[in-house]
Amino acid sequence: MAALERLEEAQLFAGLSEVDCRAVAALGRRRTATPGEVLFRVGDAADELYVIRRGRVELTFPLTVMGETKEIRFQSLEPGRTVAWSALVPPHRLTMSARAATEVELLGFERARLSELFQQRPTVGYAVMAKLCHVVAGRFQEMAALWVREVQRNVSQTYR
Amino acid sequence: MWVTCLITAAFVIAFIAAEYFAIQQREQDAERERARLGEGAQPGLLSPGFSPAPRATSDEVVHELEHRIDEELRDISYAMCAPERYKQIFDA
Repeated sequence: MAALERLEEAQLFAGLSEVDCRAVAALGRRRTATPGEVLFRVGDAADELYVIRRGRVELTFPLTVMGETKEIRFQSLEPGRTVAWSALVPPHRLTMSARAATEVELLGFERARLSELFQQRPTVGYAVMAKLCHVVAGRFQEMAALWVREVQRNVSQTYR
Repeated sequence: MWVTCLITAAFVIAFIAAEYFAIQQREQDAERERARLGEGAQPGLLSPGFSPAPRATSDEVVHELEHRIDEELRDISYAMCAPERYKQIFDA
């Protein structure tokens, strides 16, 4: 789990030119978190998108188990991956919670500043949004597959 | 008179006993059918009766659930990466 050294190694910014990467990097705001720290919660407003620079982030969703609300880990993400993609997609509400699984360093990008950059450099906007589609589609496919499999099992068991 | 009462009471008791045993039999049959259907079927993420041991605490349930989600996602990711397996992405 190597740390992200260059921004163009990140999933979201792969393929950008060096100049464009520098322009994006200038907008990044460093954020750190300690193990177990909650980075954001499902349903909150998503104003900032994050790229993991160091450490591991867990995406979680709340579930009531035996009367207690528990955060269930859905996925662990490593350096280079994107979290809080909802910051760039209306209605800008987070669809999952996130917590630091280890010491974590993130690069945060505010939506307003990214949008401004995308207007100034539409090619950057297009490239980043295309990559973001991959991120969202990947997450959607995983969730859809999980859900369909679960429904299939329940139907098979109930209506054999 | 006493004999009539006795016979009636015996009939009533016999009827109740027969009903009781019939209900028990139906429940046992249903239980056997449920067990039969469960055999060989893939368990859901946390299907009742799947867990090998009764889960004592909510943390153990969470651990079990996360473990099963990890397994599922590994399988789904593998299917997504291999075009020849892609159709299996939704196979339970």
